[in-house]
This record gives sequence, C-alpha cells and structure tokens, in this order.
Amino acid sequence: MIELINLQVKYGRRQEPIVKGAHAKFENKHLILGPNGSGKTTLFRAITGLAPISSGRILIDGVDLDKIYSKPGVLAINLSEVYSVFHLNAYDHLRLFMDLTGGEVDLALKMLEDLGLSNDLLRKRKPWELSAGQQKAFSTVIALFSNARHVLLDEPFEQLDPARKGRLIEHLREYKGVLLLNTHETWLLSALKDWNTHLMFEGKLYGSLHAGEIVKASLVARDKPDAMLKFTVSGKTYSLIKGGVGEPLSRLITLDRIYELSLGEAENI
Amino acid sequence: MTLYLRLKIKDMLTTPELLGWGIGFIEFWVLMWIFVFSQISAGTAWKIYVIKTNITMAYSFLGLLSMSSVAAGLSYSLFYASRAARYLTKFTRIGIVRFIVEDFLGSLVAILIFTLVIFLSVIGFSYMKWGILALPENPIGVIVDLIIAGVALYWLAYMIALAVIVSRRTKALTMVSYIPLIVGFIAYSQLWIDLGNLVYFMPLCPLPALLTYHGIGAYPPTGAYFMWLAGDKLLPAINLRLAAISVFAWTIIFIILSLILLRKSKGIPIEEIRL
Repeated sequence: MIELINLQVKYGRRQEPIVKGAHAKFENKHLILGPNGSGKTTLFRAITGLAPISSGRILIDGVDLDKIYSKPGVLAINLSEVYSVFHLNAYDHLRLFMDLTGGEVDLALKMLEDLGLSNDLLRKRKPWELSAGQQKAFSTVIALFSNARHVLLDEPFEQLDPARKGRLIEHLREYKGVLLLNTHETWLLSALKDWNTHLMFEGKLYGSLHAGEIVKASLVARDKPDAMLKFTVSGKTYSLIKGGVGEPLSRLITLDRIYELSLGEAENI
Repeated sequence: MTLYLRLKIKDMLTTPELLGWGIGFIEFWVLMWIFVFSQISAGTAWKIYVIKTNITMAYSFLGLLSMSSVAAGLSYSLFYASRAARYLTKFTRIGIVRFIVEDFLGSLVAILIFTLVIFLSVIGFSYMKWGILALPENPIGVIVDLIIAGVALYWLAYMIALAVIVSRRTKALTMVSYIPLIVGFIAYSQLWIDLGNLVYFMPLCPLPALLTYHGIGAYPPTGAYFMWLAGDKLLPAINLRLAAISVFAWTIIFIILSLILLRKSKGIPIEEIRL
C-alpha cells in the first residue's frame, strides 16, 4: 500500500507547490485523472523519491520513503529518464533492469513485441533514440515486469495505437499488485470501470470514486450539496453529480478541456 | 562480474566520443612523437638509453593525456547516470555503495584499457622505428602509477559532475567537464616547462615523473623533460617521495570532496539534473 499523508511538493522555496496537501491510500488499482500540468507526474516522481517533498510523508507498505534503499520488488515506475543509464542499446538496458529487479527478460521481450518493439529494434536503438510512443511502451514494460508490488504508470497509453492500447489494458487488468495509472484521457474510465479513480486539478487530489460511477456522472459548474465529488479549478467549484443535467465527464475526451470550461463554457453546463 | 559492471565497461569502451578522444586523438600524437618529433637514431649504448627514456616519456605523458580525455567524457556520463542512479539505488538490488563501487571499478578498468592501448602502440611503433623494445624496468610500478592516475581522474570527474549538480549550474557542465583534460595538459606542459616546486602542488603533475622513474629507472627533473633528455641544462631532480605524497593527497582530496558533494546532492530534484 502507498499512503500519502498531507503531501506537498515544490521546487525552490518561492515557487507555488505543485502537489498541495495530498492525502490518499493506494492499495489496489487506481486511476489518477487530471489535465496536463495538474501535478500528476510530479506526484509520481515524489512517490519514487525523485521530487522534493516539502512537507508531509509517503509511506510504502508502512515504511517511510526516505528509509527505502536498495529494495527491489517494492516499486517501479515508467518514467523513461530512469531507464537510460548508459550509452547502450535498449536491449542492454532491459537486461540490466530485469537483472537488478529479478524480472523476466523473455516475458518482457514478448510484451514489447506485442507493443510493436521487436528484439531487433531494441538491439539497434538506444532508449532515447526510440520514438516518444516507443519510449513510453519500453519503460512501461520494464516497470510492469520488474516484479514490483507497486507500479506507477505515467500516461502509458500516450501515442499507442488502438490495438496496442487494448493489449496493454488486458495486461493491466491481469496485473497482480498495486497499480497507479495517471492520465488526462477520459476514455480509460469506461475501459477500467472497476478501478478506483482520483481526480487531480491544480495540485490537489480529489476522490476516490469508482471509474464506473464517474462514467455515469455529470459535471456541473456549481457547488451542489448532493455531489458525489466536488473540486475547484481556477477558483470555480465543480460538482460531479449522478446522471442529471450536466456534461458527462467522459464526453470531455481529455480533462485538458476543463480549463476551456472554466474560462467560457462553464455557465452552460 | 555483475551485469552492471560488464555494461559499464562496455559502455565506456564503445562510446564513440571516448574512443575518438581517448584513443584516436592520442594515437595521432603517438605517431607524431615517434615518427616526426624524435629525430635521434640508435647507435651507441647511450643513444639507446636516450631512446628508451624518450619512449618511456611518450607512454607516460600521452597515457596520462589519454586518461584525462576519457575523464572529461566521464564527467558527462556520471552527470547523466546520476538521474537514473536515484531510482536504481532505491528500487533495485544495487545499493548506493555497490553503485559507487561498481561504477568506479568499471570506469577504472575502461580507463586502464584505453591507456594500455596507448602504451602498446608507443612500444610497438617505437620498435618499428628503432628496433628497440622499451618495456618498463619496473612494470608493477608503472601499473600502480597508472591505477593511481585512473583512480584520481575518476574521482576528479565524479567531483565535477556532482559539483555541477549541487551548484545547480547544469549549463556549466560543458565547460567544467574539460577540467580533467586541462589537468592532463598542465601535466603535459612539463615536457617544455619546469614547474619547480610547484609540481608538488599541482594535481597529478608529479605522475609523469613517477612513471618515468618506474619505466626507465632514471630520476626525472621537476619539469622541462625535453631539455633534460637533450642534456642541454642541469635540472633539479624531483623528490619522488614528495611526488608520490602529492598524487595520493590529491586523490584523497578528490574522493573526500566527491563523497561530501554526493551527500549534498541527495535533496536535488531530478528535474534540475538536465541540461
């Protein structure tokens, strides 16, 4: 289980915090849904110890993150920057990380092949020479096959074609362990209906609700007392309500549209 | 040998920049030294001794220059690896100590392989020219000197990479990564310049003297090696004990500063470790 206790992340003393007082427990499969720039990736970096925690704590299986060192099998993440160690090809990097985490190279290679990254390609290219989508798929597969109890996936579907998205979703459904997946795309709510979902806006984490509930919910730009969930964007309060008159959240396609709504269309929903 | 160590060595031995500067560039000067600058011909026993001394100086100075070139590239790779290192040391089997030790050992092995190539080419080309096989009189001494040089240059490179991270001046990396090469060229300048007692205070400058001593058995001067070789002027002999102390002291300084900077670099976010 990953537990966030009043977590605040900020770079530099004078800067505005990027993650603001996040409280959450992640012990199953979770979606973190938020627009670009809402702090999702920074939150993941903080959980991995790659971003500075200005206040609060992160516990992984009850152990403070600061006290975790040299512990394979605890956590893995799909940020491509952590999987470029040497000026060597992607295949060597895959071998290295599977060796250091006790993962299965053959299974990872099979999954990579499924996602369109052949063994031949991995031997020819360095990780940063792969296309953006291939880099994401490469680091996602390493994270998933690292035998970790907790896996953080930052926008794993970005630039994957629909067929490969489908294959990856199947794999995520079967994964035994805690999964945290962040995205700004709302179509995942329908694909992963039984996952717990948090919303993230302007550094604040809201929720959780089941993805299935959010799919059926509607968004209104008002503070509704009977709301399933309320959140604030650009100083305006929004409510997620069951059914009803508002805009279904899933119809926004990407949560980046929330800013457009907060600027102009909000009054219409 | 662990996979990390194997890949570290493979990485350094296959990086085109390191091969180009550490071997290609230095080999050019090996050829120039042997075939263009060295006009002496073998004949008397004294001339053979002078040629052997000349060969020893060639692999000492050019070997050190090769190591310095590799160390300049090493600053870069250590800087980049520091981003992945955060993750590696936390969530994989490789702990901080093992990471440092394996990275150091891998780099040292690669640096020594680069130098071995320079050494063998100097020996080989000089044999081609003069028919003299100038193998070191004290090979163990030469190997120890080269290992110390490799250790010192690795930690100097690491210190530079960490100083860039801690000072958050990542854009300065391009400039400061040349410091090992500058150190190498200052040592190289002793071929013409006599540094006098300053040689004991300059990082790694006494190393060619130690290499020359172990290579040919002669007590070299505090500088101006070509003048010494030609016998144009009487130059003061270097104090080898002080020379060894100086090299050890600088190596320890680089290691201690690197470890201090390593501790200080812990709180710096990964986003700031990019150019």
